[in-house]
Amino acid sequence: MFLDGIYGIILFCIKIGIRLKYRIHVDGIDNVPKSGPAVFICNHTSIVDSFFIGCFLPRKIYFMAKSTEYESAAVRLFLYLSRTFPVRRYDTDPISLKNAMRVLSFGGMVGVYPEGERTWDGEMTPFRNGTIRFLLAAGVPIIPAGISGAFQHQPRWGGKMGNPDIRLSIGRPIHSPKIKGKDQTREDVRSLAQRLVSAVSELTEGHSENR
Amino acid sequence: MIEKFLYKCPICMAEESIETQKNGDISCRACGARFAYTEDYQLSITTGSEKQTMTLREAYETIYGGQFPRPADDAFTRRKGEILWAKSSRAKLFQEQKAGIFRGYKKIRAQLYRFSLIDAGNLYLTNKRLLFHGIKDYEIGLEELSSVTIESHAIMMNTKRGYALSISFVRESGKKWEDYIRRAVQEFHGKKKIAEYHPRITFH
Repeated sequence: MFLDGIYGIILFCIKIGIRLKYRIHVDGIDNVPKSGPAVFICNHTSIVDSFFIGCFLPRKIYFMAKSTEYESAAVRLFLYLSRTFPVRRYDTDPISLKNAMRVLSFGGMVGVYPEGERTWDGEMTPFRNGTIRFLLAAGVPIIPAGISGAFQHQPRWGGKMGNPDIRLSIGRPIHSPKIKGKDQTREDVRSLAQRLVSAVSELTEGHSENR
Repeated sequence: MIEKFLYKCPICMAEESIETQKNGDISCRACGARFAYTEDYQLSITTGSEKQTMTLREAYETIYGGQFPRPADDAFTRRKGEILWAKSSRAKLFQEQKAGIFRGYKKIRAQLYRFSLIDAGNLYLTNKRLLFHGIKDYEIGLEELSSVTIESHAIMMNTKRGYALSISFVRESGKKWEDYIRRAVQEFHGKKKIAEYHPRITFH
């Protein structure tokens, strides 16, 4: 409780900082279910994406974060407080999937960047097959979201391209059938990937009918 | 800076020639092209009196691929049939090691790892292997790589030996080396087209 209080203060300060530094708009917040298991997916454009999502979503989100972020004790404490858990990006990581399933089993919401890394050029990259397989195995509502404008503020390669408004658009939940890993076919993976890429692209480009 | 991504000039294809000045001006040392961002966040490139605009993706697609540099380094001992494709400038080699257990909320548990510096030197890439030449030599056959990706600007490679390695480059673009190694792995596997390079190399 004490640590949660400290984290609440940190988050509040970050939120004020974000409001002062950026012109940020958030759409479709009502599409996030108030409770129950869900997976939140979003395109990954900049290092600050997780702060936007963490600050503006109305419920706690357990993000998968790359394992190399956990090397420093101070960062590790912050990642603990912000309810992330590590995933090794350079290897298949069954423990991180087990942790994600554990979060879903108590009705929590897991956050994943299905591209598996930040974009280099501002455009979306293909979703990882492993993420799609996890979503099929989980069989819980998938909340798609798109971020636009953040890349120009802080591209992956450093510097700054401009100062546009940042928009976080959250779409309506997508329901996919629950299919156990061994029963998943390539067609199941391809079909869900196509639906999710299309939903996130439309939300990113700002002309989604799905908001 | 953009040279970490555009490691070749999209106009003259010279490697590591783009540089960003402290005042934000971007230009190519080799051909003199000047780069700026347009209002819709494309790349505007001026060469002499000519001006052209392209998206970042188009610029990257222009520089991707082509011939490996094939440095003439006689000090490198080639094996039979081996072709030296690229050699890095100063780089650091790190090896993954276990670093305790992460205990998160709701009984989340995960193994933590850290990358420890094990050597500094130069990385050689051939059609058969990667060789990191520092105080010692560390050799990884292309067939041993199970994933190749990049985090921040360091290359992350997992091996079938049971541990991962990371290489960070002091001056060069990590993205360039990620592209080089991925292309080398693809060429090594020939007709088997690679679908994903991480978290595990998988084929179509």
